[in-house]
Amino acid sequence: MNDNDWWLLFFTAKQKRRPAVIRQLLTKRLSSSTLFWGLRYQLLEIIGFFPKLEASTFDQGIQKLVEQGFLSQDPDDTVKLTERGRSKKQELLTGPTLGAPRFFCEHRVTEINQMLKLIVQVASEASYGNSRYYVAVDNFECQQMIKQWLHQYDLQTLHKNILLELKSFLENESPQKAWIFCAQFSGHQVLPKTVAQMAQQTGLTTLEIKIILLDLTSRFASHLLQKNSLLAPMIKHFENQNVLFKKSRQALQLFLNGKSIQQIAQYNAVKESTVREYLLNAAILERDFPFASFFTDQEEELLTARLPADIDQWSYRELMSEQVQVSFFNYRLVAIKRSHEEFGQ
Amino acid sequence: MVSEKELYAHLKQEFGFTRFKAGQKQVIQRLLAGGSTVAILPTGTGKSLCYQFVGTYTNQTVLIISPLLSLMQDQVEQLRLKGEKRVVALNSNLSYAAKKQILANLHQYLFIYLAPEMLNNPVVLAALTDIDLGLLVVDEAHCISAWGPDFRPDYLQLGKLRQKLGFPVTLALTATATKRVTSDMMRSLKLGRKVKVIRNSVDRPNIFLAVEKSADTQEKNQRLIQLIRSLPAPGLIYFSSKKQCDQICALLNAKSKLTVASYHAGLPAGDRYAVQQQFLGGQIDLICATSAFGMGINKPDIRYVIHYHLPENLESYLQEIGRAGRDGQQSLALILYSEQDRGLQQHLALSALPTNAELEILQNSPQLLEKSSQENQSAQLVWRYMQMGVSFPQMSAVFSQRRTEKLQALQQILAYVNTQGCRRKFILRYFDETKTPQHFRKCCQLANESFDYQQLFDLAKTKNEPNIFAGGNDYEQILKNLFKTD
Repeated sequence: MNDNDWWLLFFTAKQKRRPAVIRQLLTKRLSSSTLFWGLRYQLLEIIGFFPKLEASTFDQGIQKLVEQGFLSQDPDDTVKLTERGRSKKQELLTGPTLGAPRFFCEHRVTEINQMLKLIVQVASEASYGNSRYYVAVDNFECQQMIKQWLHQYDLQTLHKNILLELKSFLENESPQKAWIFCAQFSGHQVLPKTVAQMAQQTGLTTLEIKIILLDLTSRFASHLLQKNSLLAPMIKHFENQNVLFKKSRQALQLFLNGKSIQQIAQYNAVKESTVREYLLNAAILERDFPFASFFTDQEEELLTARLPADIDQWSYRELMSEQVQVSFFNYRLVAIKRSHEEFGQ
Repeated sequence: MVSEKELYAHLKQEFGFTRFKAGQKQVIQRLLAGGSTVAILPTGTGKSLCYQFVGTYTNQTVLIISPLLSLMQDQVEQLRLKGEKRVVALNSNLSYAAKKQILANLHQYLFIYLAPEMLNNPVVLAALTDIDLGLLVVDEAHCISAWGPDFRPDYLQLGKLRQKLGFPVTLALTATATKRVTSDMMRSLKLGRKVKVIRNSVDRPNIFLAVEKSADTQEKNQRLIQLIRSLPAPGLIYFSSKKQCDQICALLNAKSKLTVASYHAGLPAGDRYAVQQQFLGGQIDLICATSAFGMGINKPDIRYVIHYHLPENLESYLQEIGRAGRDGQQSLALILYSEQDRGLQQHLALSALPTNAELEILQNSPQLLEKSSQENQSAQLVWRYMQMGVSFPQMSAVFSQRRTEKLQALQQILAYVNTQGCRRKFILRYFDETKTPQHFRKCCQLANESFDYQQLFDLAKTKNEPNIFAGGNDYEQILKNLFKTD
């Protein structure tokens, strides 16, 4: 099994999916359209899994899966799992998965992993009374975070807390996963293992090791936040300041406060079309979106009566050619509402 | 004028040494007297100490232009390890906020490492002109000539930078430079006539030089397996391709009892750190690497450096084999050559440079150029040159000249592979050295001579037992080792 295989998890044998949408979700390059299709694919939870994934790496990987017969590609560039791909996906589903997928959307997990490595190294060296050592993590932000933290607390508190938290978290994990998580750390006279070495030692694939590391990093960080550990500020710092989500939430809030789209646009000094995009995003992401403020049940019925049952097949262009009077905004809102109902969200 | 006594006292106090290595004192004295210097000192002779000494002695900021992120990080950490906290690296790894924070406090740092690309940022330049700069260092200065025109055009702007910084005392450091490269460096840096060139011989007599020819890849792989089974570890094998680096690493792990790891720019930073530290700590016997590995690595007991592919040129070859035998013990530098390597190296040498046809397309379509520059190395180069105000006809001339130079460099390395004479003499003549030693028994393998490498190492006390992969799968044991508890 190689790293490409993991992409199969994001495809199905029934629904034709665009790889580009999945790549944009994984790297968190989000537009209204990407979010809508993320909703349709029920893949919103993969937002931000691999923020640094290169487009060419992913696209070549998909192409390889097509060549290997795991995926079939249509002329419109959408892909589906083949029978072979389906059984491979089943195999993958028995392997490690990510237990806290939403955490990836809300946090910079790569940086959190570096932060944890630095905390462990600093605490380890401090526990042996060593102040001069080769720092393993070349990340200025992490280094500043730990310095700031140490202005408030001391090295002994750091050592005591990280050891305590690691023990309490890892005792609930399988010994193998716990070992993989710990083997990445360096400290006083302790050298880290590479992913390949962990794979060699455990008999797992490098892909499985990478997933376990991501999984335990996100869940351990989540554990620190939930417990409100003294170490939590160093994790909380890496919370995502997602401008898109923030603006969508703000626009919705203004709307709920009685402002019109035009007023929201004036207030934010943006175009009305931009406000509509924010509201569409909010409709996708927020649970209590006031759909009824935009269209009546009757209007919804009238519209859906003209469209196929499968929302994936809806086409605004075809609707327009039939002279149906509906704005794209309302058309898309209906599609979002119906999708939420379809998926029970 | 600083007295000898003061120099030695500072050396002892700051670095813990009682004597200088060849060339160091001369360079330091010259810099302390305010004279810009080009120092060509062989690998492993402590080049960094020259500027670290000057910085800590004068307590004035030293700005170091460094070519590689990994090298920069390594040098920052090495200085911190010595207890020097006033050190920072300004590079593309930093977030916007971090960069801003560093620039606002730049005067607090004694050693500032910088990628040449950062110098085009007016904010960075403004911050640098505001500090009391004692010394400008261009580390691995051969990159000006070797890399500048090909893919780091910002290297060619360093002279202008010196000018903007008011022509500070400058040290250009490298391990290898022919007279032509030295002139390139001096011209690019606008060093003028008063600059002093301090040059030590590139010769490393304890490194035996050899070339073996194979008919094809299969034969080469078989020979490589034989070699690593018999040669004393630790060793280093260089590749031109990341893919083959990984493949051969897997092959050698399977076919030998040695612990072999691969190292290249495609690995995540955490893995690169782990491999480097395990190798330094003696937990890895053999590294399969691309040229990304090596600069700044100071492991004294590397017994052999094998080139699986043909090196790009003699300069980089000497840099890479210079990682062997820094402890002065007998070591080996071997090129495994097969005919198809020539084509691969030629392709690599030329593919990064845009052809005239490509230049024409890019010139006619600025939009395409901007888009391609995000994805394609040669378009990126054109884009950068354009930003620097270089016209398309000028670019065409530069690239054409570079193609010729690269092909000449390839001819040189092929001439080295095929030479009938003493390989050491060949290299020394290439680097314009007039004093060349007589061929000796452990000097080099002459053309078509079969040589039993075991003879080399009979007398040398070296480690050849493989590493046993240490450690069980017990996470609690790792925690116990990591944290000392009372």
